[in-house]
Amino acid sequence: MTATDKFTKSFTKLCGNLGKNNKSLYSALTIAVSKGTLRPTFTMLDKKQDKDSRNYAAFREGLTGAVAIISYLATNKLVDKLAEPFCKKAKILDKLEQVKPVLSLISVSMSALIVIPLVCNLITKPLLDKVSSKPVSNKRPSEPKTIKFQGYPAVYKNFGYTNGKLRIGG
Amino acid sequence: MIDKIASIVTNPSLIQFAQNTKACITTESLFKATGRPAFIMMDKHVNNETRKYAAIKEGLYQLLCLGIYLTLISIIFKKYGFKLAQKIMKKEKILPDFKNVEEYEAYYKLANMKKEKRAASPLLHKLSNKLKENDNDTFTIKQKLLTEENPKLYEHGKGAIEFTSLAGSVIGLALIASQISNLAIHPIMKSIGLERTKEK
Repeated sequence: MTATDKFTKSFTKLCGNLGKNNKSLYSALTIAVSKGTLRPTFTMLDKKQDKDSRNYAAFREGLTGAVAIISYLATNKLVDKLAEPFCKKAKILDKLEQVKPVLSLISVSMSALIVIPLVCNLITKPLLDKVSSKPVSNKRPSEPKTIKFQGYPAVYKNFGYTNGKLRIGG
Repeated sequence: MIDKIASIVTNPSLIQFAQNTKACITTESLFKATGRPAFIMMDKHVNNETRKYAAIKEGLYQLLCLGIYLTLISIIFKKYGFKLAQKIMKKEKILPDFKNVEEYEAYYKLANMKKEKRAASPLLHKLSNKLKENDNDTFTIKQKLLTEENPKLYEHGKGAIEFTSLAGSVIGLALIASQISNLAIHPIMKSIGLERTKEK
């Protein structure tokens, strides 16, 4: 069997499986893995930002990706385990295979809505403080200040609410 | 209570929705666009104005990514991805030679309908009158659709669409949409007065 034949067979098998039994978990995991690796890579390649900001943003994006992957897998495993007892109790055991994708969609949705942002809120700052030498401040820069410098007034303005630290996405 | 939940999770429309990659990605992105800003607003480590700014930015980012992804999927990925999948699987002879993805989707929807409803469906006009599974077949797939109770679904075609949507989520959502959103988000934030132009 040639490499092309092997590829055709594998692709056909994959399409057959996806056509018969597709789950929300697959799309959620695909996005989490691709964003969790690509976004930090792009951030680190962005030379317009200073090194500290790049490190912070890349760490945060990678961490969000890792949290997302673990959350999706864990919640999906949980609903998969609960599916059978639920179907038994509801007397719809014959529909177990149809119910699983719906429960997968519910678990992915709940992870995206609650679990992932909650876990990220709880662990991002303590972890960042641990890995970075100086604690990260997310405070908005204060209003323009007038500072006396060697007798001459100098006005320092700091624009951009985030100071380049609060990057989004992931 | 359990009966009500059971009737919801066994609803055929919801089952089909849950097995559709595009629908799942849309749902997930909408939940992200709601959940993340809400949790940013609850983060007491950050001051109120920064929270508001980051929450709006996050919500906008997710919605922009979703919009770009859906546009790319509809215009490029689904159309060309299905054609490419047809070419790859041609040797296996498991998928009839549908003219395009729209024709297959119409067929799949009709095959999932009850037999008596198929003849009156407007989707039937999207199907070719000549298309056969094999050249040796006596009946066309349209004729089979109207006479058989459970016609073949040709699930490999559905799988090809789902695979295309998954591949599209990597290229479209993680690569292209993220970059475009990052470029578009600052002008939008400025236009709604949440970001100031940097002074030199």
